[in-house]
Amino acid sequence: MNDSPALERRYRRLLVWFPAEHRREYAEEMINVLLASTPEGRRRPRLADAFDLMTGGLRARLGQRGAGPGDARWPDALAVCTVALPVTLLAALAVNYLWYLLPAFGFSGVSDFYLPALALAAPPLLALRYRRTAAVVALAVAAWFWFLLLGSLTVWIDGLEASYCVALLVQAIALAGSPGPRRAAAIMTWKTWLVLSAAGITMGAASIYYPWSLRTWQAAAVVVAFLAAAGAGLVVTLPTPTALRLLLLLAVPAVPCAVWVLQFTAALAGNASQEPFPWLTFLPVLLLACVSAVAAWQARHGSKTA
Amino acid sequence: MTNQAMQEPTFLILTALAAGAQHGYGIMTDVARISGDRVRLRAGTLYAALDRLRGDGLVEADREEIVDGRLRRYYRLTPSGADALAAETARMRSNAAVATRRLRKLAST
Repeated sequence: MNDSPALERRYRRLLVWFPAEHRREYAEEMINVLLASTPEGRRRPRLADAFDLMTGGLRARLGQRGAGPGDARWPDALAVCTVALPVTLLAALAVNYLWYLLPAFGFSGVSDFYLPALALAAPPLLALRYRRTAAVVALAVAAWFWFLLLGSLTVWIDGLEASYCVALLVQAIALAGSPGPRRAAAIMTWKTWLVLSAAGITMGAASIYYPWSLRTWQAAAVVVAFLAAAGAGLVVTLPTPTALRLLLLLAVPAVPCAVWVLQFTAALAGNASQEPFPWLTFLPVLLLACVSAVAAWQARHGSKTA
Repeated sequence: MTNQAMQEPTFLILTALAAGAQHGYGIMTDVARISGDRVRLRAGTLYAALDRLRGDGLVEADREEIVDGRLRRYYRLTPSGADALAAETARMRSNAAVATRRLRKLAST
């Protein structure tokens, strides 16, 4: 047993990585075990112990606690995500497509606008049987879109295309890290399908007739109201822990899209020339993407450490 | 998820507790002994696992002692923990039996 007060203090500081609830239950025991397993004379925590406490604490905070049986919240959220993204986008594009099919418009053919939707929908269909292949396909398509985007980097980075790209990345992560669409179908009720379709149809309708004359704050209010309504719909129709994690995942593609709508409104309202896409707005997206990647990794490998 | 193979640290913790109630440090040293020093659990991992196993009802708190002014809590296997360990052992044994049979066949051809 190492009795150094300095060592104990340092271990206690490291325990802050754990949620308060976990600390209340285990902190004293953990300090004992840590002190007992540290060689006499040592005054600083071993690096491996420090790392283990940090990762263990983060895992506990993510609600993962080793992702054992009975704790399938991230995998469930990722599974629903594999269905939620394509359903929403396909509903949006179906509305858009049907509208322009009306005789008044003289149908001008399918634009490449529809390709991302098909690319998003194909992997989940494939995933019903080949989940890993589907994840690779989604990743490949995302890479391809990034490649297309790179060509336009010098001009205006289109938030909508960026949104497609990150949606495909999230889709790839969700497919790789979850039991897939079959599990999603078991969790989702008809009400969830309704919420997702309604969100998609609203987006599709907005793409046809968006009141571009809105002031920026009004547009912001519309976007926030839409996101709040869709979010509330999902929270109500899914188990809460799954729904909250799903919202975090869906926010990754939703944020650049929302920013794009606001920017476009602002540009039209002020008759200003289109401004470069503010890269700063991608920071939260990047952060969210990292969180979802960690979640996916945890979902598949987290239990190996516990 | 429930019919998934048990992770090795989990298996070793349950095996350690199958010998009787033990406190955290005891589990840690026992796991190292059982695995021939191959698996060394650290405090963060051990208590994350114990918390999960308690949540799943496989392990429960046995008793608490104060030794040198410090809290020591003992954990024990629950009946469903023993069942889970037995099921896992049977699964591993049957897999090992098939592997052994095939290896023997491979060696004889």
